[in-house]
Amino acid sequence: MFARRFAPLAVRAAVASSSRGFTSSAAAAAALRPRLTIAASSPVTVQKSVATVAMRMYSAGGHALTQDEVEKRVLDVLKNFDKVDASKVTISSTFASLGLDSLDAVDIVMAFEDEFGVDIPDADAEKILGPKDAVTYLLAQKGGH
Amino acid sequence: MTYQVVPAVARTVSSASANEARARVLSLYRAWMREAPASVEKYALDLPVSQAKAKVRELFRANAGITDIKIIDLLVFKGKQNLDEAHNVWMQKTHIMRFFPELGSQPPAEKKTGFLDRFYAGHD
Repeated sequence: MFARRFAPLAVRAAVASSSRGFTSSAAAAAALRPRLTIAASSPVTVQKSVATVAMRMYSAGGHALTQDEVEKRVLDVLKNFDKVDASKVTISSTFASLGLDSLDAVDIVMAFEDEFGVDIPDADAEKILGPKDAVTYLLAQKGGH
Repeated sequence: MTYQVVPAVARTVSSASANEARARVLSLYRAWMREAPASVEKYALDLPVSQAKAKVRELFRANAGITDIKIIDLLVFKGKQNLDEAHNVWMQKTHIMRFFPELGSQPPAEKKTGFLDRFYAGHD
């Protein structure tokens, strides 16, 4: 009871005298509590002799997209489109040359958005006329995966 | 996938050129394609998302041959109105299901016989 009535004073006193030592028991208990420090980047090393458990450090961020990877994924999306003849798809073909009209082009650009997890605004989407433009655009985006 | 917030104001526009009208149509198409899966959730439709998207495609393609810019602008305006109504849940499920007459939720149209009935329905 005594402590509760004078708790605000005790807190203020603790803050004011933190450099000189602690005057209240609550502040002293806080000082004795173990501090938890987490290293900014701690690589996980697993010994080969032990059964390995796959660990994913999602907070560490993914790798940057490489040109080859983006090209392969873009062409795969294009080949899986049911209006497209997969054998005619090359990196330098345009959507028009594959027999796709503007609505199909919008569908394909939205499929690229889903595949790479980026958002492509209307103005940029209109400039993408083929897989090569898409690759150039996607490589320039941050936050794609 | 991020979902773009669609501003809920459909305004009549007057496009200066065919390219501008085309850009508006594609922009509306993109917005509808983003709205289709969200609407399937909002209205608890018993459709797969692919069927909803196919319906959007079908309705856009039905008007593919139109070249008059004023008509295109009017259709874009009506499409934008429908998009606002779908996005803000100003419609109900029954209104959405009117886009899918092939699923049979609407009663079949009665064949009008007799001069007056046909006249009222619009046949001269």
